[in-house]
Amino acid sequence: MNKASYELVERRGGVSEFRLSHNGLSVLIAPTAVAPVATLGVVYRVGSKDEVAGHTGATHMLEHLMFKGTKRFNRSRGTEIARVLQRVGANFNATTWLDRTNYYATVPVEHLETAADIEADRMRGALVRDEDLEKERSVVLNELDRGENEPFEILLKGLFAHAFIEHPYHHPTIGWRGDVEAIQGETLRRFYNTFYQPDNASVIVAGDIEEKPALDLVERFFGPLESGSARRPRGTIREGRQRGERRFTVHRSGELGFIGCVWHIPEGLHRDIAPLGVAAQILTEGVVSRLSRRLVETNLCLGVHASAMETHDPGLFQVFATLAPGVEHADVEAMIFEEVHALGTAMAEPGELARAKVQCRTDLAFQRESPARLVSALTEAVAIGDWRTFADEMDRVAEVGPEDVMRVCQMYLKPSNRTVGWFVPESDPENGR
Amino acid sequence: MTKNLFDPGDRISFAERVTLHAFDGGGRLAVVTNTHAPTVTIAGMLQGGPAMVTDGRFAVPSLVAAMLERGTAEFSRMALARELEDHGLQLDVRSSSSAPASVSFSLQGLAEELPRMADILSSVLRRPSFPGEELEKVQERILGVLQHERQDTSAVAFGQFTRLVYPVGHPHRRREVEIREAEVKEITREDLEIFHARHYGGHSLVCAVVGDVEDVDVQQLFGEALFGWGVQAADLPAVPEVGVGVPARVDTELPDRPNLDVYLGHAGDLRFGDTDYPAAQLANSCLGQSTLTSRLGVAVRDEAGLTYGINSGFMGTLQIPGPWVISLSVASQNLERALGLCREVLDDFLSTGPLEAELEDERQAWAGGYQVGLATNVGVAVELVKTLLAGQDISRMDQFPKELLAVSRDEVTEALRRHINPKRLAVSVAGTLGGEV
Repeated sequence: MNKASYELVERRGGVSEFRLSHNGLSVLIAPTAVAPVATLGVVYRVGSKDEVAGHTGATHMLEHLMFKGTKRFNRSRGTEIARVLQRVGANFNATTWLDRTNYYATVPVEHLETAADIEADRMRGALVRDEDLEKERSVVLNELDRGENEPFEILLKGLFAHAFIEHPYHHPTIGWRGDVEAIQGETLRRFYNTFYQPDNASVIVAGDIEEKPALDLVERFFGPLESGSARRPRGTIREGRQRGERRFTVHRSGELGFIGCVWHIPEGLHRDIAPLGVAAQILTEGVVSRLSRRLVETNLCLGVHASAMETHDPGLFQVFATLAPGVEHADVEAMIFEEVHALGTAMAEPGELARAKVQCRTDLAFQRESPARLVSALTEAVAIGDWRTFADEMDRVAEVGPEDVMRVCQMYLKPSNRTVGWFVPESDPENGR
Repeated sequence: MTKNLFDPGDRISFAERVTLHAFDGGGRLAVVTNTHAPTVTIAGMLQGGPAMVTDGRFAVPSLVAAMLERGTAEFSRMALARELEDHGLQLDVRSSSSAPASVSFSLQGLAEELPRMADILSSVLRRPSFPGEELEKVQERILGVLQHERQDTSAVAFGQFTRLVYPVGHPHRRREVEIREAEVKEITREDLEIFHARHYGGHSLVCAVVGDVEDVDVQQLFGEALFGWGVQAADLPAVPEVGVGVPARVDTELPDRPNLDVYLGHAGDLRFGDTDYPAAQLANSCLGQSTLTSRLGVAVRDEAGLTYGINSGFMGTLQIPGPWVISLSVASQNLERALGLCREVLDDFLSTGPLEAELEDERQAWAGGYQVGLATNVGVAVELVKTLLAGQDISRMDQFPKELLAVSRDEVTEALRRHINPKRLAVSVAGTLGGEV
């Protein structure tokens, strides 16, 4: 490693961040020698929030085309990305979400070089050909159809579309169907050249590695890449304050009803996210949680789940319930609101907080056990704006007191700030509003 | 000091690093130390799955498994939940889909909780109390899940597929929802107690403990927890004979489901541990293991753009062989073209066998993938249990990658023609067949 080529940014919680000086690439190294494997991931700070009207789904479509070929890894050379990765036994994939796109491969450690070689070529050498787009368009449309089969997916799409009116979290990551059908190769190539740049990405390496050889490897493949000159538009749209409950109902064929309730909450780096996360755990994590006892243990619901989204821009606190057959939406909704309200009007029990903390500690230990999970957790932390949120997570949760949980529930989980969606199975149309 | 399986500076064989112990009556315990993370995973199976019933009531074993977390001699439902959740423990017990004669369980947590984990497992597996009010709740919940299944295109298509290829009374035949609903409603607490008393015991238990633990501690804790637990071992009941199988097709119309789920295949006869198991798996890998690079994936997804996902595989190779099946999702207007392509690819592959180059890719993929699969405690634990359940020696975990690399093209072609037959394909489709929704 050329010492001058890297700048050490910070070491924290077993993770070290470096920056390649000449192209601005961030590199995170997290040795964890649980087994002779390693995971290499690349996260680009571009997600569906960076899309504009008419081009929704561009980020996701581009992710698909990233497997169709690069200058050095493509079918005509017998080196298509998937085949080369599979040949070394890699467990690999890519995903697109609101704030980021990521690519990862878990490989026997001796094949880490292959993963680095591919990802470096993918960063600046993707072909993004029109003929590939036409074939992949119908693949993505089938993926979209699969989502339309699932009541939960339909409800989720509606909740984001109703809760966010101005902010681009409004549209689904896969895009609106009309946009997916119409998007052009030129749009994708422009998108690629704007966002797939070293200074807009982090390379994350975890597993049975040592720091110096891992940095050398990353430098060897990513070091020669130049950062482009394209100016990246950064979203300036802020969602206006919601000043009243919003509601919608979806009537479709189905057997079971679903309810989704969301409230606007701050961005993932905000200090209130930790107590909101604890609130979500108190509501639905495990059998003894409040809503599980109230709804699932009584067989009013088949399942209930709450979470505080951690996103780059202000996100949503979510509660979803799958209703048991014959149960009224209104009854379940009222119970969800009662329990949410109760969290904002009385202190949580010490046992509830202790349980949330031990679950957090255990989850973190299991993340450390698996290079793939470690890279995944760091990817999400990068996406919200600071990988150190991963390293500090236990500390932030440990500091949460009952008064914090009550305060954030009072502040954010109020009726005027919520959006409610019902999925009403068509076989029971009278159940809906 | 126990040897550390994952010490990167001293990687020696599984056979040398795994410590085996015997339970009363014949069960086995495998222990592996991994000090690189402060966690432990316990995984296991015992012979209490649906294939053990002799009266056709396949829901009884599933309900027994579901009820194990609902109350024991020591814990009520809520007390058990608190004991687990207050200490960050995750317990899962279920009928195994890959091994129909077995129920599988896992318990994960921080290694410091090992004594508590041994106590909980002992209580849950040995002394369930089957509380009546909890049974009613579980029955109601299962009925709700079955209701959901009626509109799930994948579940509907797969259920129909199994009914095309397996006779009544076969454990791999998924019965109609109405039949299962009626059976679940009739099951009594006594049914569960009888099944548990007859089948749950240390005799058939295979269990792996992998994590930051010492073998001597595990041996002592599990020796105490499972001491004296044995029942008369029951033979696996006879399974109805599966016919040769003839081409058949069922299309099921479900409204508002623009994506169709499709299964095509036939009953299988491949067992984990068979001599040609590596060759057959490699044959299937070339054909359909990967939705991106296999022959089916390249033809149907990559080149024709007809599907988001297509795979083929042998479903269930432990105890009672399951079907070999191709599964894909597709829009209705592309259905017949996709089915035609699948058949073309299959016929072509059967006639020529794999190319040496593609086979070499798959050999390497399997061998490397096997190593990646063993990258976590749970990955190691599950593979150990599978190996022990199949009556294989632990050394198989060292040998399997080498066996894969040594399989010849002729062996793969022979296994392909032995285990996959395009003349017997049954096809099941579910979704909105007319297209517009």
